[in-house]
Amino acid sequence: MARAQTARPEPYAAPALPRDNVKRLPPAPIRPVRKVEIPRTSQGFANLRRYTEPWLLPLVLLGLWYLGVERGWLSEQVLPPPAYVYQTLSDLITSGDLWINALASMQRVVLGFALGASIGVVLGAAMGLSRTVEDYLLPTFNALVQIPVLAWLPFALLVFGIGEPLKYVLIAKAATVPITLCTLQAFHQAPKGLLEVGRAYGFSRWQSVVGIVLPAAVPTLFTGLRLGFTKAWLSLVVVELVASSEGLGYLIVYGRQLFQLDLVMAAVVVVGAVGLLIDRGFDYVERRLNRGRPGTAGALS
Amino acid sequence: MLNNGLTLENISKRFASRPGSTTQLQVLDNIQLDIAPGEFISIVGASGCGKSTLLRLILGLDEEYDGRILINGKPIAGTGLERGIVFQDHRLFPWLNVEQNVAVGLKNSALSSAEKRDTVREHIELVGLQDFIDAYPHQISGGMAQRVAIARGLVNRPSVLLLDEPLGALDALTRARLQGELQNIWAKEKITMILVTHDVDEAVFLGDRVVVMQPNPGRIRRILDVDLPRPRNRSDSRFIALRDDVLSDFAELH
Repeated sequence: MARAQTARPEPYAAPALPRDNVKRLPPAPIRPVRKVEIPRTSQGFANLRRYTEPWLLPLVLLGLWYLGVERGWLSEQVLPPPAYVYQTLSDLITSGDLWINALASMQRVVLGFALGASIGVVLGAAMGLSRTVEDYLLPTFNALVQIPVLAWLPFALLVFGIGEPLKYVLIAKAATVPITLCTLQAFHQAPKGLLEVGRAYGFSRWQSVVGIVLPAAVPTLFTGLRLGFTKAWLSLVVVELVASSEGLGYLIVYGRQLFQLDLVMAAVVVVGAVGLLIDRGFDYVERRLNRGRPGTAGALS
Repeated sequence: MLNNGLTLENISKRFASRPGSTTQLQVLDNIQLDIAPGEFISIVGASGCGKSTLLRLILGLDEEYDGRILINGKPIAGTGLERGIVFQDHRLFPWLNVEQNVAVGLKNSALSSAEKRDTVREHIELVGLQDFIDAYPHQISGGMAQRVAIARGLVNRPSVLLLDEPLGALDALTRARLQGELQNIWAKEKITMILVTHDVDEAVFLGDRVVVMQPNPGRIRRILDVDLPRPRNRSDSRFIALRDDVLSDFAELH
């Protein structure tokens, strides 16, 4: 029985207050919560600025390039004029060479990245979930990752030959490292407070992992995937530079050997553009996944 | 001896003062308390008196202690759905909306999914958030988030609701309003509530009994009955007298 019900209710006399000098407003009517659509057009100018600002620096660089060629800072053989590079690029597109090489590169990077990402997520999750696995694996892993892709190349060439498997393996290796480390970090950073909530409601270990650890890990996991992709893309070019007969990296080598710097520049532009596009794609997916969370938590401006 | 409520028998708890060190810190020393079903107990004390630790023991998050905790005469083992909890930081899942957050409490309940949905809706209405069912935690205020946490704590219809300084991080106005709401919810649900707070005013306003704790080692200093009719009036002279009485306990400690 609650004690409150046993208490003797005594009338309570409110202390006398001077009420004459207090003006009271009529009580505000209770209103239902209104949902207001915010017109998006009012932000048009701000949006325009946000979309134009990123292009300023590339335009300045392009201008410098023009100027450099115009003033003869570097000889035309070393730094071909932008118009020339543009010409080469459109030739590559119309002849279909660009697609053949870009497709070859994309295939390698997608397969290699998929392989590396799977290994990385599994490895990171295994170490994140089990202290024992971490104790056994992490030190060796940390030592092995210090060795760059190029240093593995001679050995990998002997083991995998010069064909496609070599590229997949080296690209996968490059992607695995950041993805493993970020996955591990994401699992380590599982919010302790929320895990306690899970325990209070009788979550099983599986429910805690799926319902708390994984959703909380999404942002860090995605950082890892993006980083991993950047690494994969970078090592793709390196691998193609060394051993291939097609691909964007091969275009660069080929252009260098024939001293066609315009071809080199065109390929470099394509490598950068494709890499950027894929990074934007990751960004988009990440924002979709993070819907419902504060967008720019911790942003300074 | 009560056998149909919550009983704390000789609860003591020690922590290693540093990880790996052999010297131990006595956090709780021989806590004895019988809590009747449906009673509202306020536990008040300065920081470091072990009041939050005591609540964690009752919740079952920490099972390393001496003594026994009995619910309906049976010792507790780990956490259980008959004990709900509201933490000071609301601890809502940021990726779930209000409705899904409340439903977290029902994840392992035996209800059918239709029953679950109805119970969740009912409890969201109980805390007055029916217009914010689809909102995410970062979109609502601290007071609203704490109400969601209260709804989540109650959604299993626990026999005991543990409140760990649930209103401590809120502004004074919101806190006063939520204290009133908490009291209404308690009166409506007729469940045992154990409130840990450092706010003496809050403890006296809500509690049937106020347990005053003191630190080094954490122990019960005394237990006061609050025989005032509800809802209580903060400017009532008896309320003020009781509050000052409790406050005097803390004045001596400094």
